[in-house]
This record gives sequence, structure tokens and C-alpha cells, in this order.
Amino acid sequence: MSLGCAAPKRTHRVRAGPALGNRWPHTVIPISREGRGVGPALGTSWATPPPQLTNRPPALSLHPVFIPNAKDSSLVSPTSTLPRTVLASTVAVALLFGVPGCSDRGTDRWVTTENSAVEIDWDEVAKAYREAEGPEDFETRVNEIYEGDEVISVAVHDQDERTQVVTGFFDQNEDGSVQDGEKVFTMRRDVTGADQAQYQIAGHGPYAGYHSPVWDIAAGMFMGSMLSRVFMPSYMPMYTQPYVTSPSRRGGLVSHRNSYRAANPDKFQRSSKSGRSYGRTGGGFGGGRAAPPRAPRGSGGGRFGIRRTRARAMIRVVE
Amino acid sequence: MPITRIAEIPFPRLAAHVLLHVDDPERLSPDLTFAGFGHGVVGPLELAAPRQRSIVLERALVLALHTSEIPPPDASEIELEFELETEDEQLTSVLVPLDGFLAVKLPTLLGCERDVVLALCNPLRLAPARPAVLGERTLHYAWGDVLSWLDRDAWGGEQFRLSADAWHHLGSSREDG
Repeated sequence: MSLGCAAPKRTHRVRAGPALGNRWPHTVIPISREGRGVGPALGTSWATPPPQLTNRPPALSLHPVFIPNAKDSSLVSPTSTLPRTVLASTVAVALLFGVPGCSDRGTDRWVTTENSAVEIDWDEVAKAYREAEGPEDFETRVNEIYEGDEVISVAVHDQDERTQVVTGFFDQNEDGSVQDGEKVFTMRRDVTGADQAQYQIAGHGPYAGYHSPVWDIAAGMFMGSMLSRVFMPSYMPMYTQPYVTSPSRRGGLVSHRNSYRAANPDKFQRSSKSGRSYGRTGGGFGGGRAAPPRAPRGSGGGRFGIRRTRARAMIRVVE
Repeated sequence: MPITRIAEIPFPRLAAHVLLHVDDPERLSPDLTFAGFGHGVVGPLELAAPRQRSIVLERALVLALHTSEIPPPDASEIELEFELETEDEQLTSVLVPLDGFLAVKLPTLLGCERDVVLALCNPLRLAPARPAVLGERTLHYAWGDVLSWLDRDAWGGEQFRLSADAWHHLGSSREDG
């Protein structure tokens, strides 16, 4: 049947996002001008530079260490592209002094590690999960929270009717699947009762060792559909086949995040991270930072379902 | 005056931004209390769902509708809910079967568009009947919640997006969803 219109055109096409570069987190963790380390994983600092040390193979240490002669007295990960001699000294210092505190980052809200100068506010990540309307909304929120250059992809998997595992990961090879070395965090939600559930975050990779408190949720609390639907009588696990951020969607996430950052200059246009405290180095930044205001982005629309919040008359019309 | 017939339900033609409720640049996430309805031509419009390749329609007739968020679990057909406010600000929900609504309203709405999209939550994952009046047009409907978004690319271009758990496509001869 003709539609009676001029030049009808079939226009289905598959959307493709711009190509993205793969960038891993920075490897330099700054310290103060006085040479006092502020890296979170260290749990200690040097008031004065340590003594000269002998060369050792650089591949043995995974911890950030102090470089006595490095410009600006930086703490540098041995995985960075430094001259071999510097790396060797670096490792030797680590071996000599040890790195107390690295194995237990505990439940600090702000955590970064030896591989990354990019911290993640885990309370905000937990809040994003609690308020998300679905995986797409959650991944958008997570990438607003994350302050690095990489895109955090998300995989959502309903393991059964009670357990959902959400994985955040750097999709380095852009294959749309989670590889062990790409994981940033996992979040596990378990239904614990008729109207109750709980969830917890665990860090991986650069954030390994972090674990959040266990958050309890209950039917009736304010939360988004991603969590609240588990309490509905008609609930069925949706992601028995996992949802994963598609490589084509990453372009949209970058575009959105750029707009978000541009609208939040106070949060994202810091001139330097130097002097910033990370993790448990005195507790001053352990949990007191207020959530940044969310910026206009103009991308949120509506939901095409009715949530009856007010009493009303009901009329049924059939013809 | 109470509505007694489907034909009496207002179903305005609206600009795309208004229809999909993406006309407020201050809004960050979908408005869960949105109850607006109507129809309009929208394009480009992406139909996005996990585990499906997105489809972008250059120009589609979109029917913005609502169902109850928590329908009876044994419901066998999609029932629409129109939230109307009377002159004395009393809220009334008018419940209408989708098939009946399309039979009455759709013939007056169709234009040149080859695609008709139901922006409509479908929590029970029911399949609507394909109205014969569609002819060769394709009817797109969703499973799960349907959320609307406005995406902007790095060059300032805009694209509307409807996300759902899954999209299905009823063509004149077969379902290709």
C-alpha cells in the first residue's frame, strides 16, 4: 500500500559513535613541595628524602615510591616511562622501606592507588546505583562521577532472581565484554527478604582492596527503577543475559561527560592535583566532600508509565 | 464533564521536544512523574535497548502514551492510562485498552511517516495487535520501561532517544524485532 507521500525513504541505520582513544589512568601521584607523600596507598610519608640506594630490577614493585632526584619531588609508579636508573632507585627504596598500608585500603570513601591519580567517590557511585533508572542511566551517572579520561563501561548481570552483579570496567579493547584486567569495581545486590535487599561495592584493578559498607535498601525507599523493580510483584530478572555498554555508546558518554564537565568548572578545572590528599592520610578528606551539583545537560526526558502518587478517580473507557 | 468515549480523550499534536519531555535543559534524568501524552513527528529518533543494535529512524510518528507502572500481573492486554485534571483540579485517570485506542485514534494521525513508535512502558511485555490501518508502516513497541532522552553530539547536533529493555518491530508481513 502506498502512503501517498513524496519520496518515502527507508531510513533505518545503526548508530555509530566516534572512535575513542584508550588511555589508562595516570601513573604519577603528586606529593607536596616539602617532599611529604600524600598518596593514599602509602600510609606514611618522608619528611626528608631517603638515602641513595643501589640499583634493583624495576619490575618487582607495584607500589608508588619516592624519587629523590625527580623533578618536583614526584611520587612515581614504576610502570611509568622513566629512565631505568630512576626506576631502579625507585624500586630499591620501596624494598628497603616497605610500603605500609597498601594492602588494606578499607572503606574510605575516596580511594586511589598506585596506578591511578584519579579518585572515585564511592558514595556517589552507590548513590548513582540507588537512583538509576536503568543501566544506561547508571553508566551516565558513573562517568559523571569519574574524574579521569577513560570511559567506565558497565555490565549488569542478574545471576538469579536474588542477585545482581554490576561491573564497572575500562573497556580497553572495546570489545564490549569484561576482562579481568579491565575491572574497576563490582557491585553486588542481594535480595535478603520480602521487601529488603542490600548491596556493596568492591574495587578492582587500580582500586583493589576497597570495599564499601553494606547498604540496606527496602521497598518504599526513594530509589530508581534499577533497584526498585526488584520489589515489584511482577519482577522478573531482566539481565540474565548481561547488559554491557556497547562500544558505540561510549562516544555518547564522552560527549555527555564533556558537557557535564564544562558545566561544572569548579569540580573539573582544577589546575593541579598537587597537595591534594588521597585516602587515609590523616582523615581530612575521608568523607566530608559534598556531592557536586549536577549540571544541566538537557538529556533527560520522561518515563512513559504512570506512577500514581495522588488519589484520583478512575474511569475505564472501552470504545 | 467526564469522558465516556475514546474519541473524547484529548490527544494533541505536539512538537518533538515537548512530546518527549526533553524541553527542559535543567533536567538531568528522566522525570518519573511525567504524565504528558500526545503525538507528533520526531526525528532522528534512536530506539535503544541493551543487547540490541540501536535503530535510528529519520522521521517517525510517535505516540506518547502511558501505562500503569504496576499493572495487574495477570493482565492480558496493554491498558493505557491518561491522567487528566478537571477544572476543579481533581485528578482523574482514564483507562483505555491500547488496541481500542489505536483503532479509534490512529487513522486520524497517520501521515507520510513509514514508522509509528509507541513511546509506552510495557512492564508485562505484552504484544499489541498490529492495526490494519498501518498499511506498510512498521509499528515499533517496547518491553519494559521506556525512557526518553535528548542526546547531543560534539558538533551540537541533537538526536532523540527512547530506551527500553527491548524493542520490537511489527511490519506489514512479519516481526523483525
